[in-house]
Amino acid sequence: MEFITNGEVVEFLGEYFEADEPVARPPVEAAADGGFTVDGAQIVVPVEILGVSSDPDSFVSFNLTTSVTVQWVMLIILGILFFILGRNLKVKPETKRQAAAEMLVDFFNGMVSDAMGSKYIKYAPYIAIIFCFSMFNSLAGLLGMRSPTADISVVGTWGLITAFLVLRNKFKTGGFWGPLKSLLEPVAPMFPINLIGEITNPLTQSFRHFGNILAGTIIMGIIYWAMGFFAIFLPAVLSMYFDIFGAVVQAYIFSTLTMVYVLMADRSPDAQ
Amino acid sequence: MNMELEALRATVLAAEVMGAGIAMLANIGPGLGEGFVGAKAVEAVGRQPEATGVITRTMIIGDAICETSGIYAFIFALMVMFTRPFSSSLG
Repeated sequence: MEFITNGEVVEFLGEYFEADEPVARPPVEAAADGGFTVDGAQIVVPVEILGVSSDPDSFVSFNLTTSVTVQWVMLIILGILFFILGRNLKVKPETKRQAAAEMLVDFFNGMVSDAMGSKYIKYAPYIAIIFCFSMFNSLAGLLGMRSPTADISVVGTWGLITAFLVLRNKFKTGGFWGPLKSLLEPVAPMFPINLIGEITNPLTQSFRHFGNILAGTIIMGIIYWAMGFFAIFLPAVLSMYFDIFGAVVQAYIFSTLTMVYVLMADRSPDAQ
Repeated sequence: MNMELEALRATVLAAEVMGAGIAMLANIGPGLGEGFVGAKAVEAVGRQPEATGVITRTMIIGDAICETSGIYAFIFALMVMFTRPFSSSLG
């Protein structure tokens, strides 16, 4: 079998393309007349600060995107919700509102103490807020906004927070050399593999969240686009799985993995 | 219109789209894996119905870990499909 060079391929294809006929173009360009494309977060306000350009193609840019603004909306909603839930609390619950608030707190306290033990109960507020914030951000897709969690820079930030918590716990339980010692376990030559593992943990955590939500967003987008005017019943049923179930499960998995990683970083002798 | 370049771009484009499709074959693995996880969880619930909550939680975590390679393949396929790194570099 002979190797076909580029020139031959061009010659072969040349028979099928008349010079005046439009050649097949990437659908990205055809999308202007009704095709389907996947966009990143759109820029709401371009920001030029500290000499960094507002060009979205550059490596670093501080533009105000839809991810940030939708997160603000969700922060306000969550803030109002928690403010209302936490007001006028009595020792003996009198209102349904306080019962709901206690149920919520009990749920997160139980989740943290089940997974990490009562020693780590002070992580409960962080886990609770990362759970609620992740869930609300993913559910923003239901309101027609672009989910901020379908943007790697948002979920990647949360993964970074996990990495910092892990590092902090290693310092706290293992002393100053704790993080370094943990990289040399069980034997010193394992150092590169341990280092890779340390970096990939938050990376996979954030990629999983990002990929799942983005997949749901794209599939729902394709369904709405394909059904067009007749999108009546089916999208609602599929949205139950792709939007609601996915959002809740990914929030749960993200917070659980945060707890597992922080717990695995415990270097104290009585751990495990 | 540069005929050769257009034809070359069409070829590279076809290869790219096929590559994205082939990358999604990686999802066979997570599919099988999650099937095993689900089957074992059902067995465990059958044996110990009182531990359903803990088993379900553990199952979901196991599913999530299984999914990782599938998600990587999906992100790679998306990158190839929608950013078109090779055919767009041809001009």
